[in-house]
Amino acid sequence: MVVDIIDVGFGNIQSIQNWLTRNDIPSKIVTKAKELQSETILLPGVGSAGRYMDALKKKDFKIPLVDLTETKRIIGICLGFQLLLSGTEEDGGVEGLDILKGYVKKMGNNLNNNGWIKVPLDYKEITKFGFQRKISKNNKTLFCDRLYFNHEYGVILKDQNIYTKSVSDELKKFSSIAAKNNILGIQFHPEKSQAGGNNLLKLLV
Amino acid sequence: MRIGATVLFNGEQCIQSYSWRRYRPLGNLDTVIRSLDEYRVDEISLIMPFKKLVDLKLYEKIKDLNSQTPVSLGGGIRHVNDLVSLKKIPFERLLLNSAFLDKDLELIIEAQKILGRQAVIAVLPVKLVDNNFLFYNSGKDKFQLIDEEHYLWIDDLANEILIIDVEKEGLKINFDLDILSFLPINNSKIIISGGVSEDIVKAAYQRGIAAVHIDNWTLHRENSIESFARIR
Repeated sequence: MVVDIIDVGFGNIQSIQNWLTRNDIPSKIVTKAKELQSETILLPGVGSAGRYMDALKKKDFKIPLVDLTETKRIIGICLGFQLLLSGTEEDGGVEGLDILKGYVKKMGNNLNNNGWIKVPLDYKEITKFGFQRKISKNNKTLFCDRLYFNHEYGVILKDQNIYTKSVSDELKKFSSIAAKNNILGIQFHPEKSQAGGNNLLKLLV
Repeated sequence: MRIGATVLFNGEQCIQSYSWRRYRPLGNLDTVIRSLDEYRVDEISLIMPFKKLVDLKLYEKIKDLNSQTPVSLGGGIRHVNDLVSLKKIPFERLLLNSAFLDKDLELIIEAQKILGRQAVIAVLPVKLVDNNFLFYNSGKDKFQLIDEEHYLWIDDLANEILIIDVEKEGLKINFDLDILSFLPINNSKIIISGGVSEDIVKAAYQRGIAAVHIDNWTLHRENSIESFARIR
């Protein structure tokens, strides 16, 4: 298998696997930490931060995930991205995996980011921070397509030496993507972004 | 503003409703979803229109749903234990009706913990009766009034609110925009469905509505999504 998808009991796991299958990438759903074997580990995230983090700890994923950052690629999607940070203020404050430096904050009272945003990406810029695609045979370096966002909390990075892009002009301080060495975090849902999601997979995975 | 589609279904088959009075089959759910994916709708709300009698086993029939579009799903979820029925279903957001009208905080909070606060949507089907807007409670199979305090409660807990104009659904009659003036909820949290014509898309866009859902009518006109998307 090429990608292991972590399943802690809830979340849109099937949508993630459908997305990979659609793009000819073999994947395996992993429910136990000892089953993590593929070169890329995907941490999806649907749910509240507290409940999801408790499930990661209960199923012994927390320590292996941190340890594997040197040898395997880890991709966090939405809440999965947010939990890569040092902590989140959701659920009264939850400690994150601390793989990326920064924290997660509610974007504002009654403020959501639900919808599609056109995100421009330059693969060459991303590689300057050590992140490289490994599976895709694609040669393209530029991406500009619409991607689907659905979140109330946003990532604020505290690392100057990391590739990142803002969510939008209105949500400038929040990150839509972060990449550094083996780690990729994305706030949007590529698995539900139609052609944009498929193109993103070819660009970055 | 997002442009989506509301699709009623009963397991594998989709249904076209006309003002909740007449129904006709629209075809297989997979075919409908595939078409909506191809039309590049921004989102799909899939609703099983259960009234008092609920058969949650019907959800098993959509466990292989394979859509590249964000899916909101609902119908018949009345208790915390009912959420188990959705465990293997690929969807992003949950549509709850009676939980919001009956103030079932336990169910709403549990749904938020499982799916995230951003994933819980209140569904309020509405119709005008004797100058009062009445909201349909599927658990009780009746329309009811909502008071000011109850609106605020819903606004606080729901990430967004899907307002369905029952009388206009499936018809080419405009969604009643007076509903929006009446609701004490910011338009940026409201999704409208039922009687969404080109004029309504324009009006909704001007008012800062979060999304418009063209009901099953969208499947009759292949270019409707594209033409509506040009308005925003």
